[in-house]
Amino acid sequence: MRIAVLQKQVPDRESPLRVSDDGRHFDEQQVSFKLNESDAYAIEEALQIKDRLGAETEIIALGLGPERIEKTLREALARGADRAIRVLDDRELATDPYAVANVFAAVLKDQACDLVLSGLQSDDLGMGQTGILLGELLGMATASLVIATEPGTTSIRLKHELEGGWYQWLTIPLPASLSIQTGINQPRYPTIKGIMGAKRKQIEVLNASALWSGEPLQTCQRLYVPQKTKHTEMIEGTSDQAAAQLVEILKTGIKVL
Amino acid sequence: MNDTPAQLTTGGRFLVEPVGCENVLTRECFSEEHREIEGMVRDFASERVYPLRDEIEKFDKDLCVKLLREMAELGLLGIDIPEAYGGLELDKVTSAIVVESLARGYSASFTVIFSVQTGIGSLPIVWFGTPEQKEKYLPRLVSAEWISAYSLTEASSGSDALAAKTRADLSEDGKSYILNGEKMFTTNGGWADVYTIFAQVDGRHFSAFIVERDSAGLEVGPEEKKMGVKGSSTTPITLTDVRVPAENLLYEIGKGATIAFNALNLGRFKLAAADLGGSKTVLEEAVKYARDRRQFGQAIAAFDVIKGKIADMTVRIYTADSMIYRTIGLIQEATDRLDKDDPLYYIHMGEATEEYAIEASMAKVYGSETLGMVTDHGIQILGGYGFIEEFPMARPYRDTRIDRIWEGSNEINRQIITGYMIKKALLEELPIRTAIRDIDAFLESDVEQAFSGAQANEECAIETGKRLALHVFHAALNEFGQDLRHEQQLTEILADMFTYLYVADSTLSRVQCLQGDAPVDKMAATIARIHSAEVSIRLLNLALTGLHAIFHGKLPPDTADHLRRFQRRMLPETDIIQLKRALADYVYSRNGYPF
Ligand SMILES: Cc1cc2nc3c(=O)[nH]c(=O)nc-3n(C[C@H](O)[C@H](O)[C@H](O)COP(=O)(O)OP(=O)(O)OC[C@H]3O[C@@H](n4cnc5c(N)ncnc54)[C@H](O)[C@@H]3O)c2cc1C
Repeated sequence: MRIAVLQKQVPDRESPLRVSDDGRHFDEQQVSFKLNESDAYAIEEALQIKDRLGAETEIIALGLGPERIEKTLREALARGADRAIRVLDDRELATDPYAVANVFAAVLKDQACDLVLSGLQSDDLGMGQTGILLGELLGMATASLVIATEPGTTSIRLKHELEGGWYQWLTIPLPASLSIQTGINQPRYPTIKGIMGAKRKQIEVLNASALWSGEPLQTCQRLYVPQKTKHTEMIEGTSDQAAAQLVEILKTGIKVL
Repeated sequence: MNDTPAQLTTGGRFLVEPVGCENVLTRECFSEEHREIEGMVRDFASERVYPLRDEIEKFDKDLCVKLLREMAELGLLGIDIPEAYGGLELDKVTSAIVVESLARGYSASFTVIFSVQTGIGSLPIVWFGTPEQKEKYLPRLVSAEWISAYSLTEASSGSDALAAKTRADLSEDGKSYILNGEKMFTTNGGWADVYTIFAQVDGRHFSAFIVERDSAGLEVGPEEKKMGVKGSSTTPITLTDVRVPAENLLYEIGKGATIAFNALNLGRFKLAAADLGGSKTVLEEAVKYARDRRQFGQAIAAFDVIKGKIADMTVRIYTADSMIYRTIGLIQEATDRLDKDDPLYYIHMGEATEEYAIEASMAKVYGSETLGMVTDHGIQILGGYGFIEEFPMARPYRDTRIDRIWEGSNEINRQIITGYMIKKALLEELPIRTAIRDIDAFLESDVEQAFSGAQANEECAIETGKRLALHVFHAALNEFGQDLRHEQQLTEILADMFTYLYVADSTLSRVQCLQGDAPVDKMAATIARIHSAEVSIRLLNLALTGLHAIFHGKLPPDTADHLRRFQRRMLPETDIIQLKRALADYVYSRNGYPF
């Protein structure tokens, strides 16, 4: 079995975010980067499948971004991925999931993957679309919010979340693209042996512009800190009416009752 | 300065060599693997240790052993253990990075347990064990299947460890040694499966033995009720006619001191690294609190004195980081020159480490006093809440107090610093005589010609400071000769002067290596300026006190005149206070230690 896992590098939650002078990015100098949280569960799920199925299984870690994402891919190799493909985002496509999915589809179309695993959503943009779009572009079955996997030879049984605390088991054919929910497993730390061994593994580097020439559907126009405003609302009417309206505001407006 | 002999390879050479004359190891030149290992251990510390720190503190053997085993799975217990016995045998830099990163988990207790397991508990066997001893014990220790401990101290012999009274006598059949005595303060004592125990063979040959827990006659005493590191086990060990198989003698009869001092020498820089990691987390907690806490209508972080404290903590940590990793780099470099296949490899490693005994002792003193200072400031920033156990300062404040006492008390380590300097001066291992001869020429030279570049002022101050220290050292040796050792208050002053200079030299060398002009690099340069200025003032102070002791309260006119000439080059032209404000603001903007 061959599994591709998307690995995105995102700003560390603890890092201070400052909007950069052009108003479209944040100031990277102040920020440290780390692996997107749900992507850590995705790579762990791939590793556990490999642990179960044995050495025949190959895991490819895949990332799009500037040079600094090399670190994130090396981490995936240290955890146990077999090789990695790093796509240099030379067209600044990263904010559009459709564009990102197209780039990855171009990378993966000849790789004959049985499974594509991605995190449910990214901590920075939170779109939650890339895995599904990528599956569609590659003509794969797709599933999201996945919280358990049992891969077979031609299909995969999986459990995913529905609304309101419900979940569902279903079986879909392979190849498939699954978006993994956090908490599905216990992500491992890379071992020191893994870290030393990652040196010998290969990271292939490609350019996004050479892979896809389409136009993105979304671009980021402006980035800004949510603006807080204050305003005072006067409640008119008799005291009974005012009291009733106040209760209503407390219940449905600011939801403290 | 030009006639400084090139390529000295002896410890203490920072005193006679100019700033930046050698490549120093800095955090910025860690390898890719070093960084990844650091990242992994920091994740482990913040996700596995930090959330459990209160549980650990309740004294929970099972939990601590479980965590140790998790670390073993990751390879973290095998950094200094040969591959043949289940370890990885990586460099010293890695082992320092591991313990520094682990200490960021904010559990000094667990860091101590780990440090004994991977340090004094197992290294004597790695270095001095026979193949059979290694085969038997190391795989069990590297997997944490067994816990290890090290019993040197006794009730009547602490600093004076070689005066231990525990005896070892060969049995009549010659097959075993019979141990009798009582050991004090054994870390991991209540939990260990195997101990390295020091005893006098025939009452006079100081030696070490590997003793298993279930040996008849070995009794673990009650847990000490301690001021700090309460999650770790500390017990006496009583030995009553304990039969230890003769093959469990470690190394040779009478070689106990070599074993003990080697363990200490290596332990010192690791303790320093652990204190460094602890300091960074304490600073982070202090910054977080200062930004949240409001008084007089503003965050206390905005008060000028709080900024001053945050800046002082940051400067202290940055400078400690610079000198600790430089020291480890020196020891690593000396170790790299050795032949790993030489049967005496570990003996030579001990010698190579001893070459930098001065620097290792400085790291221990400066590192432990850094965490002491940082936790003290931390308490003050938290005010009353600093004194309350639920808040994050009281525990580290108590925990770190022992760091100034064990691994050789800081008094003993300061004696080691000056003691080795005296030895290196008298044996002419360091060209101290030449350096002293050249002082006058230096003081008359043209400053502007001698120093250039972004840190010219700082370099000038520190280079002058080195001459000032040499001047005091020379006067002290002239006055007291070999007896200088007994003038302990004076030797402490010298040790402090040497240490400040080594720290300043290391910091300046590190800053000179930084290329970019990113804010973080500019702030590093700011730290070097603050530190050099403060160190200059302190050096002048110490020199004054020292010289007055040497000249019994009355400075000879030429000495007074000399002092004025030193002073002219050392008085900082720096607005230290303004620089500290900028530094604190930067630390705030980065939510903690940013380097
Ligand atoms: C929690 C804890 C854990 C420990 N773990 C271990 C362990 O695992 N294994 C082990 O073997 N030991 C251990 N120790 C012992 C520790 O290493 C000793 O306490 C330490 O070496 C100091 O010895 P002492 O307590 O006898 O103090 P002393 O030696 O009596 O010193 C008292 C004071 O006198 C000063 N002093 C002593 N001699 C001189 C001198 N020549 N010149 C100037 N000043 C001097 C000291 O600096 C100190 O300030 C532990 C201690 C504690 C508290």
